[in-house]
Amino acid sequence: MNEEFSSRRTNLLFVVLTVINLFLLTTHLNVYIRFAKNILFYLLNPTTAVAGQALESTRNISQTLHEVLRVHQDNLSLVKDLQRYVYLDHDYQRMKDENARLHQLVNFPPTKMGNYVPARIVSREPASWFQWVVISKGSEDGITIDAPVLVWAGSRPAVLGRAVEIFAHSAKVVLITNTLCALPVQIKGIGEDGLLEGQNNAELRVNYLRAGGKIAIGDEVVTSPLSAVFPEGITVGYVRDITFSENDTLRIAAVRPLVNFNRLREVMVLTSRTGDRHE
Amino acid sequence: MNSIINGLLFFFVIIIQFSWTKYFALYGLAPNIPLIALIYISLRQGALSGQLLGFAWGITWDVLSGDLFGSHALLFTGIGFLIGKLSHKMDESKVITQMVLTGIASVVFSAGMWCLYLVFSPTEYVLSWNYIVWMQPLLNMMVAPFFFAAASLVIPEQRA
Repeated sequence: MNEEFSSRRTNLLFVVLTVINLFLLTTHLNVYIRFAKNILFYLLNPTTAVAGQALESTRNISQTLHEVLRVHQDNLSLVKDLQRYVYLDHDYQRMKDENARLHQLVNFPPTKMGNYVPARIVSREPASWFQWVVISKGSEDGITIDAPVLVWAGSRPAVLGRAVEIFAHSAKVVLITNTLCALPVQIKGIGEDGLLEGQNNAELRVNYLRAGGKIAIGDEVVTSPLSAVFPEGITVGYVRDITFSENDTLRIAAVRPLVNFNRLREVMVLTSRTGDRHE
Repeated sequence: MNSIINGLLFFFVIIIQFSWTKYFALYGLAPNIPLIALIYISLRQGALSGQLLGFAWGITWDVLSGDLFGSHALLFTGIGFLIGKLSHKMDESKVITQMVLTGIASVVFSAGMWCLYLVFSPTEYVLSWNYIVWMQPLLNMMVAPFFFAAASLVIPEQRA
């Protein structure tokens, strides 16, 4: 009985709904139906609009995450590139310095100094840092025993040492900072001679200076005409300090070399000069 | 409880159909989710729920679209009522039953729309026989088992 009533109610409702639908279809959206449709549209449209926006924002999150991942990957790639460019920049700076040094070598005045052979420093022992270096040229290149070895310091040549052991394609150079090296020098402007000696460190010492001389701190020390190895007037360094010897009859000057011993790359070996002599 | 779930389902289906189908439509072809949901509700809850929800989805579709006003409401009400009458008279859990019923309902829906346009359209109506007309029932049939499986997890089986 109950089920039959329910079925009748369902059928009746179907008829009512069908009549309503047919009425809507036949009225062809007259003013009242259009009004009702608009009201329903204003009620229902926000639901779909908000749902669409919600999904769109979810898509934005996905896009943002994708972009973050892409930026992260780009960052990793750029870090690698940066490391490579840092290395290249270091290489560039090294080559730039080398170019500047070679440029100075090319400008070295040969007329005054005679012929020279450019060479690279190929070996330098840390234990003998201020004593020896090995250069890349030897007897095959015209280098002889006691050949003066210079470097270009700033805008002029400076004394580095002399060749003491010669091989076919290399040579061993004793530096002026070596205690075994002694070189006649003079104080520029005064003309007073002394004997420069190495200390196995970055400083030099000039002995046998006259106690009453006019030497002063900052004076330039150059090679003496008495030197049988080096041409006259090549800069060695500058006076840093002046002291008296034990008996106060002579003075001793501490000299700061013009050569930067921590930036030795290329050298010039003089192979001949006018009026060669042997000490 | 049943009314609340049906109410939530009503809005959920409307949101899917009118807001989200654009994201999974392929070449303009998307499943008719209200029709599939209507078949499910009618089979599970009977003719009363089927025709009421069918009318609600249909009138909403008519309001939100520019189609002939009342056409969806009439077809959905009829489909909900008729399939509701078949409720519990066949094994609704079988995939083949779900697909066949969905296919028939889809064809009836398309044919019904064509007929309604022929009769009630204020202007001359020419049916466009493009691939969507042919593929829509097939797509609905493919989607129906998945929808039925998902819906059976959250919607209780209860005769109205």
